[in-house]
Amino acid sequence: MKIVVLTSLPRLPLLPRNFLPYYLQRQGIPIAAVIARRVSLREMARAHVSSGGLLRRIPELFKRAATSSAADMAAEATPRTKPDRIPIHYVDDHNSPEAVALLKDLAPDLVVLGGTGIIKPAVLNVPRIGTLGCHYALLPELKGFNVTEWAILEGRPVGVTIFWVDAGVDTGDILMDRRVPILPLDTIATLRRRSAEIGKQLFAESIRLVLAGTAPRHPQPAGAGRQFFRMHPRLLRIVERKLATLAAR
Amino acid sequence: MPSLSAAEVIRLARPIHVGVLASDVVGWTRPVHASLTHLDATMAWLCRAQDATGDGGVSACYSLLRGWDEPYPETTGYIIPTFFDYAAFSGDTRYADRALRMGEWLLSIQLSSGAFQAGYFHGSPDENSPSVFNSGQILLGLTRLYRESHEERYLTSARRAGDWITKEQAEDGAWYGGLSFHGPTTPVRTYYARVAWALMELAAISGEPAYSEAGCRHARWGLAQQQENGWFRNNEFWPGHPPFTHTIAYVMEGLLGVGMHARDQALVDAVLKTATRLMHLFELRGNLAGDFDATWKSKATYRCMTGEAQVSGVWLQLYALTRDVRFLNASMKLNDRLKASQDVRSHVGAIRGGVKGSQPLWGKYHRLAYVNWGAKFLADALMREIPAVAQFGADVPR
Repeated sequence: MKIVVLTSLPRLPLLPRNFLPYYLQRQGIPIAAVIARRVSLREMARAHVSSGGLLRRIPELFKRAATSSAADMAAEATPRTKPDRIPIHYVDDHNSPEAVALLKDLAPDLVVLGGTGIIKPAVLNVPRIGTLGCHYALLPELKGFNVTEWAILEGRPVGVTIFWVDAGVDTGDILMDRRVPILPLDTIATLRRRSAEIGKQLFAESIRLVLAGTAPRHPQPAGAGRQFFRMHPRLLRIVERKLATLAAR
Repeated sequence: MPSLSAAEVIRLARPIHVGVLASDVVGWTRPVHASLTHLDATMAWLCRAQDATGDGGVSACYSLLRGWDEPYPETTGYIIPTFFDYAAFSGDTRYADRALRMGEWLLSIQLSSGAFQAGYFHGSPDENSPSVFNSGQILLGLTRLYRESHEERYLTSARRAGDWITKEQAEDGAWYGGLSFHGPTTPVRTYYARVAWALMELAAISGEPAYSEAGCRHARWGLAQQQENGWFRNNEFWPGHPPFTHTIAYVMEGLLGVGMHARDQALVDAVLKTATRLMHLFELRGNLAGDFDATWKSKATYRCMTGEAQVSGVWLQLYALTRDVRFLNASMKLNDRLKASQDVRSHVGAIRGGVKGSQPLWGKYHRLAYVNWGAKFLADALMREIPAVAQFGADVPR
């Protein structure tokens, strides 16, 4: 089976730690190619500033060093065998005609979305079996942005869902999901990181099911759940405080 | 833009005016302070607008061309509840005293028919321009004055206005007569839903069901104007022009007001439909255009600040009703955008705490002016936002 990963990568010579295609490869899943959207340094800087900038992240970095969770440590303990070389194709936009043509040339059976924007039907129609996405909340309740934070604010369980991507926003059939536990000293950042780790594990489990031909498709009830948007910074601070009390229990 | 007189050009050329225009040309935004800071500044600006007239009414606007304008009966009417709310919010009874002064002035200018005049007040009541909408907005003030003071004269005045309004109402619930001719030229207007809401308020304090029947009749007519996509027909000021967010929000406020009084879920659902649509537009585009056509598209290159403040206020009302925190989130962002357009540190009182008609100031809605109703609606929104956020935070031990 031919699997292609769509992701975003900065214009840097190094690949990020725990790069999803290599993680999947280490799990014994063959990845045929990666199509990566180029992320400019300017875009990275803007994202960095909007997330609070380095100064505001210094306490977080200290906390992170002091509170590496079990999931983090498990991820670190993953044997780092030298991965097979995976061809990486760079595009400016995953939805561009150039990217669609490239994907058609690759003729994948399955596409895995590992860090992209909204993907349009022209791309989704290419893979023979379908496209898998990872959503950092339990569907169908919480769709859209900042869903980990919205789950905490709304008093709902935090979780991760692997789903078959369709043309709607997080409306595709559900393949599998898992709750993410809140651990002592958790912050939004640690929780997000743990969600990302669990997301990768679920991707691997899901792809194995697809390879075995037993991957389920649980349709989301029409109109179920709500679409959330970027959370206001003051609500984010409230969420951090609420998370601190939850994590202290 | 019409040609300017020499006096207007001279006034426009004042350094402070050139400064605010220049900042809009460059696209500078102001620092966003705590909501309470903006609320206090907005209320202080409204006090200065009231003081500028000397008669108890609130000056319609501070114009970069004309300075403080004449008092505006319509908006003075609906500013009254804002002053009572702020008096309770801040614990400063002087704001309630100011609301009473506004009431005194309104009683003194009521027309012999019971109606109130359209447009600004030019020194004496204009018996030739009775207006349903303006009377309805003043009715919101009179009913609140009665609730606060229990003085019979406010109820009497409100009844007279209410009787005239219902007399002008057509069988289908709409108003085709008694239309304000100042500005709007459309033959029927959905945003008169706010008049229906005022009649419900009057019914509540008077116990007279005829007023609520009239209010509900208009609300049903208004409901029929709503398209499947949430947009309201017959809601523009001028035929062929897309409605400002100001009138779109007027309809939502009116229908919500009637819906709350009548406990009519269909009206609340209609407001939810439009408000949710606007929330999605705002969240996905990152801004709210000044006007929208029937497909929710817009060619507007300006923001209607009054409309934004109203939409934010409606979202906050819906948050209180439904506890859907997305409405609170969107209103906080929209309020931040409004705050970023407000100068709360200017050394000029007419600018400090004022709310522009349009952003930029030369936009289509009340260009080159800071309008009292924009300030009123921003104050209303902030008075809803502050306790809503505090309540959320209070659930979380620090």
